[in-house]
Amino acid sequence: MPVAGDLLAAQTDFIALLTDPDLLQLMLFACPDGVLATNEEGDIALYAGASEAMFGYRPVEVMGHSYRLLLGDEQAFQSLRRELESHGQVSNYEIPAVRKGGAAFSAAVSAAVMKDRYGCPIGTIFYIRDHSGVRQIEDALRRNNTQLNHLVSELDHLAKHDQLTGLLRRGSAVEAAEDALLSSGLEREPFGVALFDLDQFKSVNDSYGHLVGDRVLATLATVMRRVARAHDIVGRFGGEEFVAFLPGADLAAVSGFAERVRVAIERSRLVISDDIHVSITVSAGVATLPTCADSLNDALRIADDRLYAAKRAGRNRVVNHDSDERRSAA
Amino acid sequence: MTTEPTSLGMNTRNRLRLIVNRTTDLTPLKSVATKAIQLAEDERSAAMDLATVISSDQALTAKLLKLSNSAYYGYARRISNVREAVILLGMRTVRSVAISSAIIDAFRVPDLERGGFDQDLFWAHSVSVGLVAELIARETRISRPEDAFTAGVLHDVGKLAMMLAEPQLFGEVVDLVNHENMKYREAELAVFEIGHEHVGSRLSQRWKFPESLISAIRDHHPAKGVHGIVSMGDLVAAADLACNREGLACGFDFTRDEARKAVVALPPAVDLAIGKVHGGMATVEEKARAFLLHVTARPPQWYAPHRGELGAEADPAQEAGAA
Repeated sequence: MPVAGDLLAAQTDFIALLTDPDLLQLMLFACPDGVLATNEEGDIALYAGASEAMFGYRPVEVMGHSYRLLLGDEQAFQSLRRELESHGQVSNYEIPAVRKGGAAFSAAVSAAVMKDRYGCPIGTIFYIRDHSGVRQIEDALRRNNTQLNHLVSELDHLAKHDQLTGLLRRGSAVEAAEDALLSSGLEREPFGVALFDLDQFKSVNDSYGHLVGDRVLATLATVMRRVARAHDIVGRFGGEEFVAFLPGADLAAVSGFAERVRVAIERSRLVISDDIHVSITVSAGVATLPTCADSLNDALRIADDRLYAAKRAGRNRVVNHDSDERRSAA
Repeated sequence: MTTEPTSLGMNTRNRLRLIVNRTTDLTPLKSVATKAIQLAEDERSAAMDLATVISSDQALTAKLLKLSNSAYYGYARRISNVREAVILLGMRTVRSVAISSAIIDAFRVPDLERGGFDQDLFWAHSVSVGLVAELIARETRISRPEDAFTAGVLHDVGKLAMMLAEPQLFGEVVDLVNHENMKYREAELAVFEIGHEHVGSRLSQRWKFPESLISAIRDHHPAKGVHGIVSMGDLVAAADLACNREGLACGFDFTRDEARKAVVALPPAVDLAIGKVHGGMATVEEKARAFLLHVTARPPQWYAPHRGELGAEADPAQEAGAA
């Protein structure tokens, strides 16, 4: 019989190669996975490939022992056994394994029950791969992913919210209002829109500086959030302009809301130093769906017109109707 | 004020009836339009009813969604069904699109596609007037902007009826305008002895339009010009004049002759309203074109060959049509 080396060099046929016991033995020991064979009772009869390097036991230490010895816990052992009994094989079955000395690691097991020519099981062959490296990568990926998700939601929050006041920015506020409208359906429930603009804000900035200006903006934001109900949408529209969307609020309700904000702002005193207090006021224009306007855009436009009517009429007031000059537009 | 039809002579009244009868025979209005027109908008269920009616018409639904998601409304969010369109664009907007689209469709009869009459330019003028009327309504709050749009789009519907029912007489009118240098209004009265606003209002009565729309159509040619905007009729009349002033006229009464262009005095609210639109009348024209493109599902003939002094051959509408 030719030796394996000759056969390989000749590259003749596979069957001839497989009949060479030397070659089979070489292949078995060169296998990077642990290769185990057990008898019908589950006692280890073959312990080859990377088994020794993986588990740390020498072959004599495991021969005749149940393969339970190599698995982490009884529950894992039982579930693997049941799987083999019912399906005859498992593939890449993740299981806790344990090395000599008790160090646990994660293993991926592929195994098949071997049967004789009459179909009676004669034992099981196992291919065991050390999965701890993959596990580590997986865990690291999962951790990174969680971190990324967290960052993305933080960025999303930053993108949607105004940093100074913590309120929604214009686009997100309108989007949230549209969501609220869409969820209220075709029933045409009232929907209030209020636009606010701080009076003489530029002169506050000019006389006391931007830091004080920022505090004024934050004060209005705080007041609006306090006066609003939980499901109302409050946003900073840009500059010193703020918006509130009040689902379910009719013209009286949204006017009342705007008035409460106006009064609270009028009463607030911003203390700058012992002898300097800043008093601020705010003007508002309000409109509602579906009575004043048919769409959110139109309601915003009308509220904006009314806000400027409030400014023209002397500031520090809420306007909830069209001015007379508009009606008789000639 | 204009003459009431009741004060017209017997012959004229008969002619009016004849025109309206023939038109309603030739242009049956889709049931979806009739239902949308008669919708009791104060009812709580109105929005739901409108969505149901429109959803039952697949072609109209497709047009509406195309328009809703186009630059015409410039909406960032994707509108994927009629319900969302009704909620986000508003019930009146959706209804005015439904009515305008149904009537534009109804008049797309072969008889009207022939002759010296350019239906695309007719609707281009009408939709432009609708858009300007909407702007003026927004400025003056005389009526809801969406209702003003509908009134503007339909204000000249009487002209279509006259042409459809009496094509030969209407041909004479066009002839007088094109070859005798007559103003359209004078030619119409000379041939028909009746103004198109009366035909339009009678037709819209037959279609059971709401009273405000009927009176807007009837009153859009005030004899003494527009001096203030107190009614929907004034509003449409002002929008009509503003469009004619810019050359956005119907095809047959289009005038390239600067000297013959209407010199009109309009209430300041009109220019104020147009001025609030970024781009002014150019934007109005662009929007009118987009509206017709989506509603008729074909690129309309446009003003470029008439209006453009340079490069009249390069008409984007025709290029788009050929592509």
